[in-house]
Amino acid sequence: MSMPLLSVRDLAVHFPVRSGLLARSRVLKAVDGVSFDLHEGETLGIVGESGCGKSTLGRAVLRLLEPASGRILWLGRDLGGLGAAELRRQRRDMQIIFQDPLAALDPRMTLGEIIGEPLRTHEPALGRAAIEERVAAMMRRVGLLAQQINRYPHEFSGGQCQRIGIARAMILGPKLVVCDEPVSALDVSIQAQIVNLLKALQDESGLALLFISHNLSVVRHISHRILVLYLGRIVELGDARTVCAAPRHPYTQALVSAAPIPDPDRERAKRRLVLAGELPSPLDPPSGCAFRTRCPKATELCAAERPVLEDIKTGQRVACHHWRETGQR
Amino acid sequence: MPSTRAIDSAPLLAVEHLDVSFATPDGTVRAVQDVGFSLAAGESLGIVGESGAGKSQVFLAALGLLAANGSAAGSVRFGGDELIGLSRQALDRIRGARIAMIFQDPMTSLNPYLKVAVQLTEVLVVHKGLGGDAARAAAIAMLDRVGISDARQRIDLYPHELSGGMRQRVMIAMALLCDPELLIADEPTTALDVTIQAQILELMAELRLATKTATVLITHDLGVVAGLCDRVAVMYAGRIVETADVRDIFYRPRHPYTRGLLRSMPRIDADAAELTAIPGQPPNPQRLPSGCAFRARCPHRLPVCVTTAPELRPVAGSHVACHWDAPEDAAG
Repeated sequence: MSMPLLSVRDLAVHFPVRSGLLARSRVLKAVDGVSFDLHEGETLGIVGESGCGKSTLGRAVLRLLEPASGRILWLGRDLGGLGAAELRRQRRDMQIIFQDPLAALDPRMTLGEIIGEPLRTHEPALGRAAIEERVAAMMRRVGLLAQQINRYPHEFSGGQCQRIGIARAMILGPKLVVCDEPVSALDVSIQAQIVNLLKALQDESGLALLFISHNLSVVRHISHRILVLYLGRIVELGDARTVCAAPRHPYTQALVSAAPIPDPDRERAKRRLVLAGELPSPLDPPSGCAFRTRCPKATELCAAERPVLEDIKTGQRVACHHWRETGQR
Repeated sequence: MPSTRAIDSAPLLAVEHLDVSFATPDGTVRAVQDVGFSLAAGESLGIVGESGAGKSQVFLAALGLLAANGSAAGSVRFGGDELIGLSRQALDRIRGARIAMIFQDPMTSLNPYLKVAVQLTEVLVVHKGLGGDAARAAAIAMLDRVGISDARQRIDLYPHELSGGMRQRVMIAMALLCDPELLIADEPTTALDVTIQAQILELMAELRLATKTATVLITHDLGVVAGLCDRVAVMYAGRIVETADVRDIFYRPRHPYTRGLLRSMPRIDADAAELTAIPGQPPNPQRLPSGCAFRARCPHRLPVCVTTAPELRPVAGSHVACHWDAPEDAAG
């Protein structure tokens, strides 16, 4: 296989947390020991519940957050070693879109200014007319009307605002777009429009996507591979269909069984794996395997020793001492 | 919907020709138009629709909980009593006792200044006339029942000391304390994490089996409806566009909007090369189009759709508000 676009190795992002006036500062390990590759034209879905570190991971990959340790290789070059100017040059190839599209757009800027801003930053030689032409073309491409170029974000619905965010992210022709819950705030009928648009843009340009979401059904649909995070660590990573059809980590199995199926007979007949309890505090994660406090398979080994992410025959990577016993669903 | 009361035994809840409108500086917003349905004792009805479809307003109107600029017309009969226009005192005897409602965000429904114990026992003292000790014991038993461990200790916590899932359990406990005949759950799991949503849905299914409480589940998630409801009403732009048994809605959907919703949902259990999105977006409720509100997005639009709003009419076991006749073999 060709060289990955992006290689993340042993990435850790830590936040200092001070809980009381005199309390000593503690460390929240939002992302801990995460490694993966992303290839051109590929979509990697990142799933997990709130607090699992998925958004932090997305931001750290773009160096919007400073990692505590680990390496981020962009086309083989370590992004950590780059100076500010060089990092800015590389960033034109990496963009991000957010969950709340309206909040991510400056309310005082017109669509033309919002979508054209990356061009003015990265291609200062471009004239006004050239910028306007490229903005109008991009607006048409994402399903906006070019004559809306002088309107303001608040005049648009959530789905339309997400199209504006996508247009801004795509205007420089990036190689990677981090999508942080891009459809979670949208109505069902609009979600499909945005998912289809992202897939079409990828087909046209060979764009790679990091698609972050808590909705496993959406992630399965758009992703080639899926990475499942629990308390900042990868518990399972593999081909999207395999991970959803034959998950091997008990947490992935619970996520799959929790995804409602819009089919009454299947939904009522399916095997349910409802986890007990709630996510432990990320400030004080359990010893060994962080999932053991909610895991139906947990043993003493799980408390004593953290499982490593190992390759298994079906092509997945799983971090569980007991994956052999979890069997096919 | 044609009246079937003469044949059926009296339903628990009968809504007829309900209109809800809001006076705004920009004119009147017609949030609910000519909505009618009924619910039998012990039945579970799903109300599905996207934001702004009017699904919550139907029940807020029924319970006299509309915002100050809102008004309701039409009829909502509950166990024979007309709720629209009922005095506040009379409504207070029904709300919380015979009809209970749980909301999406428990933090906005629970009083942050009061311990859980105070909020739960108040319901029993006011509606059931229980004394303090008896009310506390009943409240602890109910917390236990909805899966809150250490209920005896946790009852003395404030809402902010509980997690989101725990708060929703407290809301459910509070709703069930007076053994209501009707439980209205408005997006009860939307704000929760996936595994916690699964816990709450399992609890609701289990409680429904045990208590036989009639349930209305208001949601945008067709998957949740598929698991929990006997019947489904699909709302669009303030109207019911289709209502049928749950299997008919999913396996023989007739309204183009219902069919579009089902085709636009990705599924965890199946491959789809591409989702069939519904083009366009819902209409602005302040400027609803003439005729059918869905026509601008509809692949089966007819000339009549521009001029005449379709009435809900019976079609082979379903009720559909559409001028177009869906083919019989229609799956999805």
